[in-house]
Amino acid sequence: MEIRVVEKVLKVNDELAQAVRDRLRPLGVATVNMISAPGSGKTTLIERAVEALGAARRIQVIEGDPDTTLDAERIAATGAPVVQINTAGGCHLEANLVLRALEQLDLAPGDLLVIENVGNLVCPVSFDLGEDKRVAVVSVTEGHDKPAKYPKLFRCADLVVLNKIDLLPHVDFDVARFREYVEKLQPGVPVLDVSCRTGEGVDAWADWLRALGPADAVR
Amino acid sequence: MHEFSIVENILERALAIAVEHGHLPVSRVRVAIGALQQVEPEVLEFAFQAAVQGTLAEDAAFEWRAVPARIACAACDAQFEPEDLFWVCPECAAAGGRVLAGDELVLESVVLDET
Repeated sequence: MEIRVVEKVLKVNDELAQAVRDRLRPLGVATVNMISAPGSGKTTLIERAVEALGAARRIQVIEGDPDTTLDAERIAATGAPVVQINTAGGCHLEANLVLRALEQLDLAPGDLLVIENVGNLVCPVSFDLGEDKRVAVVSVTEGHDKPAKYPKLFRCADLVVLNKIDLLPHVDFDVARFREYVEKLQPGVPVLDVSCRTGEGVDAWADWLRALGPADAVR
Repeated sequence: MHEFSIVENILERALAIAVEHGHLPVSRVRVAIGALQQVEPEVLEFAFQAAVQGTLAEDAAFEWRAVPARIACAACDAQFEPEDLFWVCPECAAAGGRVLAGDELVLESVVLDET
């Protein structure tokens, strides 16, 4: 007996992601999902954003890692409310984990929720977390070919941050090639050059976040 | 390795159907995998065979079919099947576009063994 199903395999995750949106949109909280390889500087970008936005725009953070609370401790040191999710080895966050983490945050209208996904350029892309915007982060030590190797992320990112540009003199990273790959995968997607170490580009990163309002709660 | 999460979802749905139908064993699951999914079917199959141990789907076959990508050009709306990872419209040479097909990961059916 063949039972016809024809439904998305990740239907349950999609439904839970919608539950996240249903919770956050009426509150007027914009949500960002940051995806990158491990060590590309997501946590530092969040630290700089918290400093730059200051009291004018409160950032709350959900940190995803296979293990430890190290990133949450760094974020907590900035004063931003943070919840650490440990995936126990899991390679990506799923919407049910975000939904649970929301219970531990006291989100208020106008807050910005930043979700730092598990460091991985493949798996997180398939799992909607209920975010409004996706940010892809690449650091120059990873190589300019990453967009071509991981096209799915760069096709769905709303912003691409090229991080650690202070290291460009020391690595064979071709910025023009990188931008060309991104542009071919998703014409028009903004790319920001940033160095959290020198501060270059941090203003542009903060401006991009600041500009996210409840009106951006569409995806 | 998100293949394991995907398999968990497939198995959970298949087992629920098996239970609904009087705990019949599952003999086959049929899945459609879009070409744009970053999913390796052989890894899925391997993960599936590992996950089904000790369940009603223990002897189930994992059957999949590939769904080719189909893109609508963002500039002229022509439809085409991309030839490589950089989508270029064959009509107007614009880059990028909107996905019409190839992004799916769908459980199409579950076959139960009535014998």
